[in-house]
Amino acid sequence: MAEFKYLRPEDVNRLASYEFAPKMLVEGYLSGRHRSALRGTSTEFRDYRQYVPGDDPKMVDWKVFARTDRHYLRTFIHETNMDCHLFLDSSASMGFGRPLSKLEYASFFTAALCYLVIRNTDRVSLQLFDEQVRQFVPPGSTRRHLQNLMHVLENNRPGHQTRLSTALRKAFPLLQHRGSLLVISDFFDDVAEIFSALNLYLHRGFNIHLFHILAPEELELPDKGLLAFQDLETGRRVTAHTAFLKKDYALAIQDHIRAIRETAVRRRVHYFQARTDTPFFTLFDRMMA
Amino acid sequence: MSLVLSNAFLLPFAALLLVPLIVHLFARAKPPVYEFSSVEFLRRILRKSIRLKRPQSLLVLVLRTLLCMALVALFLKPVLFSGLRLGGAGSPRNVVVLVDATASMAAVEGTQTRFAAACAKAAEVLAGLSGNDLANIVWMGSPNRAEFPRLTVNTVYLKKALRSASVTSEASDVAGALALAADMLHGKSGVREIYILSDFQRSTWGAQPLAPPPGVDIHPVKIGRKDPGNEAITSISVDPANLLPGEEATVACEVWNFSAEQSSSTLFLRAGDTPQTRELRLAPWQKDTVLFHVEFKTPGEKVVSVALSEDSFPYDNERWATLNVAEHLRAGIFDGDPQTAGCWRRALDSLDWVRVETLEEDRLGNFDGEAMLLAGWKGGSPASAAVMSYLAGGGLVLWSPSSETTAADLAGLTARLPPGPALKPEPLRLERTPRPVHLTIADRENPVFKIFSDGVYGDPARATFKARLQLPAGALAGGRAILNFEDGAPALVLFQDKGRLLLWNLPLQREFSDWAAQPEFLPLLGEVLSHYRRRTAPNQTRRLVTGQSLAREFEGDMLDADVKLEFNGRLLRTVRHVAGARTVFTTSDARSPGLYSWYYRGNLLERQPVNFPAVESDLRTQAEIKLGETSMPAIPGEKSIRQLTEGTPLWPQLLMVAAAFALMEGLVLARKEKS
Repeated sequence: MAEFKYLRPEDVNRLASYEFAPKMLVEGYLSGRHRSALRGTSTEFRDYRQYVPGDDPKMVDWKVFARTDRHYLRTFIHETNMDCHLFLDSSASMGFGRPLSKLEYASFFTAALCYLVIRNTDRVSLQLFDEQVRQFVPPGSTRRHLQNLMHVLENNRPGHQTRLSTALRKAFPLLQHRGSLLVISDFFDDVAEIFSALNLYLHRGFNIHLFHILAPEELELPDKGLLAFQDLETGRRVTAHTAFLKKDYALAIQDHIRAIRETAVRRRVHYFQARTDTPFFTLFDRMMA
Repeated sequence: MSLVLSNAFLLPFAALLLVPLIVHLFARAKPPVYEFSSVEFLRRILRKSIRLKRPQSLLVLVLRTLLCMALVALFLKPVLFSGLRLGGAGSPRNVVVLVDATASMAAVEGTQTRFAAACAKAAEVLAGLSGNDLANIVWMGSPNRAEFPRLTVNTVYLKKALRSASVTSEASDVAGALALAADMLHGKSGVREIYILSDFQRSTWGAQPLAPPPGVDIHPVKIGRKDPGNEAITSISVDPANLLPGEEATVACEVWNFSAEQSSSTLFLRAGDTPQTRELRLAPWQKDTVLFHVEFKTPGEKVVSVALSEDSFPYDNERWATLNVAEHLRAGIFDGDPQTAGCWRRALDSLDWVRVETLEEDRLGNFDGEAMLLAGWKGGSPASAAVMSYLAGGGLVLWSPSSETTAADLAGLTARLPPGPALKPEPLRLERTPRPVHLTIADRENPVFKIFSDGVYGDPARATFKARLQLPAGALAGGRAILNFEDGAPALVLFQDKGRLLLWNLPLQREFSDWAAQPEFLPLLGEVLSHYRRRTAPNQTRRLVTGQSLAREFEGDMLDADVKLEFNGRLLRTVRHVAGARTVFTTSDARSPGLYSWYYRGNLLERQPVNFPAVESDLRTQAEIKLGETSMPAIPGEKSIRQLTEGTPLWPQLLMVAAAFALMEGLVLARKEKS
């Protein structure tokens, strides 16, 4: 395997012990290892339902007919392959962080995800967005597709302002099959707007994972005295003393995180937060837990 | 008030006050740029806190500026002068210290009297003088007394005088003291100052504005902080003070409660052998008059004293009065009309308590008896001045005008008026009535008719008259008829002022009336004399208080060795004056209340009471004095006189202010940090 910037051999070795298998039903086009909400031909019983004209008579449970003199169908859970859609925030704010920027950290994690999904013969798509969808790599499950994804990640640079909600809305028509939606972002956007956009995916049955990537300096302002804070996305400057802001900022960012987490829980969306100074494998650990 | 900067050369450093302002306005920090993922949260925090932070920053700026101001002012060393003129700084000082030595200064406040505090303040004033300065002390009292006739450099003696001085029981003569001080300062070059060290008693100082001497700095220094309550006997009077043995006299005492609380005390009367007491309860700032009735069996001079139970200011708790119990009532009869005078004389001779004397017209002025009966006196003569003087002394004049008396003569005595154009100088006309007329009582409430009320003594108006004088109405103005003729013409008219003049229009000649033969004539005449006689002794007209000059007149030329004045067993210095046929001995040493006894060749002649001046009993003070049109606040006695001359350094206060500003700034910063 060629060496990629964001998929290092040692990471691949370590990923051998991980498996990305979201506990969910997916909508695939191949019968596979993932459960599907479609009733299919697997052996796992799902439910009974009354027969309506047009149903396959093979599905009728004649034993029930014998007992009740009514036609009921037995339905089974359909197993299929999984489409995994990755949304990687590539806005300017993701370029923050030293020595590892949030975008780099997210890219490592995204690369690992891509590897795990393709290793399971599932399909993975990738969308890079800032205020709009900058690049879309359709789903694929081949090694060639993986290489393509790695190249896309390596060539990716921080862009402009974050408009996650806009990007999600614009990307929605591009996803033909429902599956897992993994959003990797710093989520510096309006929380209500984000979840309003995610509602489209939730209604369609997507299993959504939010990965909130933050640099340590974003969680706790460094004690650097008086600073002119310059926004990476807008270029706007705010001059203040870090000692003066520190406490209030910590409260504000925690409020923001809490708002995202609580909304996610209410909407049955998986939420994971990560700091760039911790290995991204901790995210896998928490997903497995 | 004036402010002087001791380190005025540091004044340019006041420009430092601008430093914090300049720093605040122009200092702009250029902090390093720090690229951050999103400043949205920071902006929200700043927006939220800027509303609070900006006023806090301004407050800090104000506090820092004030702190700098206080520090700069601290180094300028300001000194505050209150009420002193600084223009004369460096010039020689001429100082008169008026020390209030009046009775109210004996009030004790804390551990010392007001007077002792005033002397201490006076010593402070003298201590502030340099070797070339002139000074004098004037003790305020009645009279005011100066230590030296003019200003002196001998402040050592003045300080010694302050140590040995004592308070008096006198009232004050404020205007006189100020005039005396102004005289001493007159023509002096340099700074001229008068320090008035007094309690500024409201009853004395609040009365009339003082005329400030021009070009003189007046520094009133108030001694005494509180108004101690006091209960005082402010007057005593005896009526009659000239009485007969067995006759009842009334002693009236006015007692004041000069305090904000109700008082309860006992009043003791000592008169003869029978003391009397009265319990007295007085509301705050109220007075009451207490009456005692006394009676003496034996003739002679009697002393009545009234005392109040002890209080914190005991000097005004006792007052004295003397009265004269005469063996006889002396009635002098001028015999201008023998028949009338004879009737009077016969009637009065029958009264054993009356001694009748014959008066000559040219010696009327020498008569000092209780009643003067003028029968057929014309009036208007030079003797009328003597009669008027006798009336002014409280005597009784019973005047039966002669047929030559004119209306003007009459008015000259009744109305104390000179003859006017309306009163013609024609003699009064004796009018014969067409038929005998009776008398009617015009004033039934008059006390002379009291004994006739039960009929035992008959009817005083029973007589009939066939003639009478026609009295002009203008001459009777101000008179009150006691008896009238039945047709309304006046028969006996009373003119009452200090003395009593009874105009007698009741002819006693046999051809004109039968009244002298009536049994009611004698009791009526006796009652008239008894009630309207002079009620004061001749030498009791003047009520003396401490500080006033005490005088005694003697007939003829007396020697110094013959007359002595004694007070509490101590002989007092007297001054002898010869005025015509009289010799007058006076003393100005009557400075304590009590009884002063005059002796002639070792025999007690008379005792003169000298009482506490009532004006000094109200111990309330005031905080300012009226000088001309303006009021001048008095300097509180707690303040150091030295501060008045040398000023009050303000650096301790400024240091405290600066510390307070620094503390406040710290608190504001701490709060700012916290928020």
